[in-house]
Formats: sequence, C-alpha cells, structure tokens
Amino acid sequence: MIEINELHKSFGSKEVLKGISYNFTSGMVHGIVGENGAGKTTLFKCIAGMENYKGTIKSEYYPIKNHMGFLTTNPEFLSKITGWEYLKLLCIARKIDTEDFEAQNIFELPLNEYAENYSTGMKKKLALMGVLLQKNDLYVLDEPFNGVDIHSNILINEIINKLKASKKTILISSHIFSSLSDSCDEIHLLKEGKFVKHATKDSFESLNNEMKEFVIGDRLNKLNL
Amino acid sequence: MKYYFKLQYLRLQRTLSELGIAAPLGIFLGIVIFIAISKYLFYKLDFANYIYVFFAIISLLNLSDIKHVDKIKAIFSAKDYRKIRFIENLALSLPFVFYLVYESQHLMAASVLSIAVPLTFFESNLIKGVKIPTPFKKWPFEFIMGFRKTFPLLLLSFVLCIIGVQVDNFNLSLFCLGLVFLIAMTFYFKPEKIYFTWIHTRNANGFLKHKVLLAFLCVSIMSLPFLLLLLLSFPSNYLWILAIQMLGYVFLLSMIFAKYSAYPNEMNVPQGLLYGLSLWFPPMLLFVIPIFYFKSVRQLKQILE
Repeated sequence: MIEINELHKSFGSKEVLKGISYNFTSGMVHGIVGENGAGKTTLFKCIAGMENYKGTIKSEYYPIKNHMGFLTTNPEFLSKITGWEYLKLLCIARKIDTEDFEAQNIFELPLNEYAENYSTGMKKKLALMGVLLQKNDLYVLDEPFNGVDIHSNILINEIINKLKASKKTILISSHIFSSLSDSCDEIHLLKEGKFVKHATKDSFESLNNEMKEFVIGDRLNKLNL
Repeated sequence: MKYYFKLQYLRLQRTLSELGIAAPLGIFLGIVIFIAISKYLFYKLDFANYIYVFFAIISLLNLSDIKHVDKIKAIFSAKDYRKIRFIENLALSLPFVFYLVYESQHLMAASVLSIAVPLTFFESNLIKGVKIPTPFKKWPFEFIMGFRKTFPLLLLSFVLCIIGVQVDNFNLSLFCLGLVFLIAMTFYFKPEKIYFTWIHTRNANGFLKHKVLLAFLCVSIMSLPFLLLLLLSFPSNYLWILAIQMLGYVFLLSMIFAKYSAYPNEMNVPQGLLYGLSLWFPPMLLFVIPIFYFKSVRQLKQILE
C-alpha cells in the first residue's frame, strides 16, 4: 500500500504536483494516465524519494525505496557493463545473493553483451528483469510497454497479473490506453498536477471516450483533411 | 563546419562553468597541468618518450570512437567529415608534438604526426562489441568498467614493470605499481547516475563501507601481478614496495570519499584543488579524508535515507 496525502512538488516557481492525495492499495494494479508534462514521472520520483516534496507518502514498508522496484521511462545503463553484470549490480544493491540469471532470462536477452548496445526494447526488458529479480513489494513501472515488441507486451501483462496475485502494489503509467485497460484495476487521470478522475474497470470505456473527446475535439478540422 | 568547432568550444565552456571556472582560465590551467605532467614524466622516467607517444595514441583513439564518428557522419558531407576528422586529430596531437620537440625528441614528434593522420581513417567499431573479460565480474561496477576502458594502459604498465626488472631499474617498476593505483583512482572520477546509488538498501555509512571494501578487494587483485613481480625481483626493497601499496590504498580511499563528497555532482574547483594538494602532500590526507568522509555521508543521506 502507498498512501499519499497532499503531495506538492515545485521546480522553482512552477508547481508540478498540486496537492495529490490517494491510497494505492496492495493487490491492485493502478494505472496513471496523463498528457506529457502532467506530472507522472515527478509523482513516481517523489514516491521513490528521488525528489524532495511537501506532503506525506506512507507505506507499510519503510523506507519505501528499499522495497520498491522503479522502472524508469528510459532506463540508464553504465558503459562497458554486460546485461549479466547489470543484473548482478541490482541484486548486490539489495543484498540478494543470486547469479542464476540465465535460468530466469524469460525475455531471452543476450546477457553476455554490453547492455549499452541493446535495442530500446531490450534495454526496457533488462531493466524490468532487474527490478523483478530484486523481489520488491512495491512496483512503479513508468511506460513498461514502450518500445517493447508485441510478444514481450503479452509477457509483461502476465508478469503484472502474477505480481498482483502476490498482493504487490503496482503503479503503471502508459500512453497506450488499451495496454492499461488490459492490466489495471483502476486508472487515474492526472492533469496539470492533480488527479481529476479515478475510474474502475467498469468505467474504463467512458474514461477513454471522455479522453478522446477532450484530446481530439475539433482539432482535426483544422487540418482540412 | 565552422559552427561544429564553435559548438565544441561552447560545450567546453559549459563543462568548465559547471565546475565553477571561466573558460579562458580553465584552458590556461589545462595547458599548465599538461606541461607540468609532461615535465614530471620526462624528469622521472628513462622511457618517457615511448610512454608519451603511447598516451598520444590512446588520446587519438578516443576520436575514432564509433559514437563520435557516427555523429559527425550523420550531419556532414563525406568531404567535410574527412576535414573535421583531420582537424580534430591534428589539434589533439599538436600539444604532444610541441612538447616532444621541446624535449628534442624529433623522431618521436614525427611519429605522433604520422600516426595521427592515418588514424583519421580509423573507426573503432571493430572493438565496440568485443567484451574484454575481467576478474571483477562478481563485483560491479567501477572496476569492470574501468578495467575494460584502461586495459591497454594496464597492459603497458605491466610490460614496463617487467622491463624495469630486466634492466634492474627498481624505480621504474615501483612507479608502475603506483600507476596501477592511479589508474584505479580514475575509475572514481565521474559520478554515476543517481539511480545506481538509489537502488542500494544500505545507509550512507554502510554504502561507503561497501564501496571501499569492494575497491580494496578489486585493486588488490589488479595490483597483485605487479606486487609479486616486485617482491620476487627486488626482495631487499620490500619495505618500499609495501609502503607504495599501502599509500595506494589510502589514495584510493580518499578518492572514493572525495567523489561522494560532491555527489551527485562532480567535484567543484575548490574541492578538486584541496584534493590535488593533499595528493601532492600526502600528510594532508589525515585531515582531508575525515572532511570528505563526513561530507560524503551528508550527501548520500539525501539519497539513501
């Protein structure tokens, strides 16, 4: 569980998060949607403790960061480090003594090659594998489906379902509504630093239609197609 | 093409200003440091000219890196690409050439120039995917990265160490042992992305302890062939050899603390100067190490606790 209360975050005079409050319960998959710049990544970084903020973020796990797997939008990799060595680093950081990475290599990644030379999708899969190997209790996955092939998307969805069944708390952001509606129990619409709508499974379609109407509006008419 | 070089100067200017130093002053300091190191090298070593040419080639090879080359190729025509590579290689080799001429090493100076030109046709994509095996696989990441990046230099140091033994030049071989520690210190120059620190469950103190223990273990493995060679070849000088080994550990420890005292930023100029002075006059480390340690704990607490 992650309980957020009156979360504010500003960069200089620009307030990015404007008083977010919500209780993300465990055993559920929470989707966060919003336009670019709505504050999704900032919200995730605040939960991870990577940014200072005003307000409170609580969990039954303390400190949150030691129990949280954070998959960033564009995972960073160190130069001249192989996929295997990257996974070892993530495990050492959490004091997990394992080297059995080949056996758990469900994405069939070339673990003996330098991670920096991986394709975008392979990098995402390696980073995801890393946070899964850490055996976290809380998962924050920023755009997990981005740049990943269709087969791996199916696999990622199944992984999320498995984590949900193990009562983990999962937060996902995505620009692709269908990928969220497949895996999430709740979707929260973040707009200009605030949650403006919370939808459960039965109201996903109306949320999608509402978003479409808002995004498209009469903009297409301007193109004179 | 002119704009390309203007942009390179702007990048240098921005890097220097991030370090809190004006560009002209930074360039002036760079020249002074380059001359000082060159003078020191020629003053201390019998084979300085060969080492100097080796350093020049290593520097030039950086400009052949496929990532760098691809960026230029993507923007410029084939003709301009060739010109840029030629100007870059020439500009980088000239300081080495001038200093070699100053030392009356005309043949070596000509060698650097004659290597710089053909290297403009070289692209190091050949070694891009080649994985250099390291003995540090289980202890990522500084020594894995560093070993792979400095492998030719480490190899050369070992060859020099052997030459020192063969010609009975204890100082040369001892210098090579010290060089291993200096190379290891360079593995800690650049701060890693904050994510790679954030992932740790250790507190600030535990994190530093973990980093120091791993560094000591890895540097011991890396320096072992040098240490054994020296102890077996110059047994009567064992005290000097062990003293350099111990001093190496202290220097490496201070480097780790110095790095994290500014983390996640790079060390600024005052910190760098203080650290540089203490390396020049090692007794200062007695005061500088605790200062850097407490600053490191403070910086890391913001990320880890």
